Amino acid sequence: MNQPDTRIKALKGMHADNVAVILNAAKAGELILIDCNGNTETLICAGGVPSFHKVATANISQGDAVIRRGIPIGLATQAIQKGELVHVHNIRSQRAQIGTS
Amino acid sequence: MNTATRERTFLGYKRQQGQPGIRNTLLILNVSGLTQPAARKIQAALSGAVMVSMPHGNAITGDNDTQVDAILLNLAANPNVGAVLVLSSDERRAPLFQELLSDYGKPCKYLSLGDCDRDIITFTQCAIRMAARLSIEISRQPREICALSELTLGLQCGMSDPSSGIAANPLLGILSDAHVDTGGTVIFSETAEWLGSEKAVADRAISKPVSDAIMNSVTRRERLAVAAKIDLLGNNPNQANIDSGLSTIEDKAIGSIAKSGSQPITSLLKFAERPATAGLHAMDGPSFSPESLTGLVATGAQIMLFTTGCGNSYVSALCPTIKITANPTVASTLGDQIDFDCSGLLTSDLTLDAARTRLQDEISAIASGALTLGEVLLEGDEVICRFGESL
Repeated sequence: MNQPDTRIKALKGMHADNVAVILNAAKAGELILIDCNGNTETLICAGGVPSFHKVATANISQGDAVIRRGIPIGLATQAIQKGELVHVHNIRSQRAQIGTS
Repeated sequence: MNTATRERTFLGYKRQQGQPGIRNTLLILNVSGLTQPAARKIQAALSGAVMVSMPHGNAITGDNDTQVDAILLNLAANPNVGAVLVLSSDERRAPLFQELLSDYGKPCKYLSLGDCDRDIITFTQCAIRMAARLSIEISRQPREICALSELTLGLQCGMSDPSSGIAANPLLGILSDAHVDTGGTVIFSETAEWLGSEKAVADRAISKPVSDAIMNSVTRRERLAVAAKIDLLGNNPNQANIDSGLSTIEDKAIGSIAKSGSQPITSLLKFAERPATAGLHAMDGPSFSPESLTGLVATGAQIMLFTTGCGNSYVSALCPTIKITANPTVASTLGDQIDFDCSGLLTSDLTLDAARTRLQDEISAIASGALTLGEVLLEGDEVICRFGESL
């Protein structure tokens, strides 16, 4: 119990979010400890996630909304597995899209 | 002593009209292109003077030059400006600024090229003499005790990273809430960074018209981006934002609006418009720091609270700008450009409440005359938006 907690920490804003922001870089296979307003959950990192980037806390299908703090921040452009990096390579904004309005 | 009940104060410069200044700056306000090079020389000849210049012509189309003149007037009206020297090639613009003199009761002089037989050398010498006398005059004014609630805080973020959204901006949020509770005024802006969260912003408006105005301001800017074929990805968020971990504008906006806290939004101000009451106000303005900060200065904010995650050296020339970061790496590598390090929110057990108390102390110190790094390093400027081309 006196050992320092060396697990990678991440913050999730709301229970129903499907991403969390990690505070320190995580490698594949590392355990990530997620804090969601005092409740904790864990997940295994499925690929490199740099510090302050987002990690999927659930499987996200192509075309599904990525939700952070209860707000859709974009649509998944491909299937994203739980534990994978969520960033501009696999999500797309729904706002101010040129040629869509 | 209970910090909730003790009234916080600072030492400021009381004004005949309106809120006190936290600086007593001589403003060299250049309002014509022909006189801009001379205005630079005049400003450089004087200790502590700030030059703001609008070099474009009078006949500006689009939202027209009345808007530009309103910005110039409101900049001169900022409480941190102790005196104004207006420079122009055109003597007909004098009455506009003489009106300012009567409204705000601050020393204001005007010099045009016409007053100097269009001799730029005479003009420069005359202006330096006039400015020197104004500087001496305002230097005699002592600082006096003022309530911290007499401050209008301008909130800005620039070169954000996710640490801005999860720590530094929420800190500004609870500080803003506390400032409004004491009767203070807070203004946030950067309309494009409400995209995706605009309903959460609009839902905090005090009335339906304010709520509708907020929604419309976001829609208008979104349409501007689409019409101009500006892809927000790479622009806002910019590449540095993206490299740091922010993804879409919606992702960035969640963090950006956290600055505004949870108080009701009293009004949606136009760019550079002065609020009619205390409380929290939103200003419809551009997101990029230089234009946004100048708009906030023109609203009457005396001090800027500016969060950054990747590092951003730019500050307002007229309003001391406290650079705040929650990114532990940036706090260490750019320590000489960061006034307030709150990275402990992420790396230690520093609580938001404890960080807020420390930041309030920092605001009191800087409002009383302690210098920010941006002031010492002369990284400040003001830029005037144009709204259309000139005739």
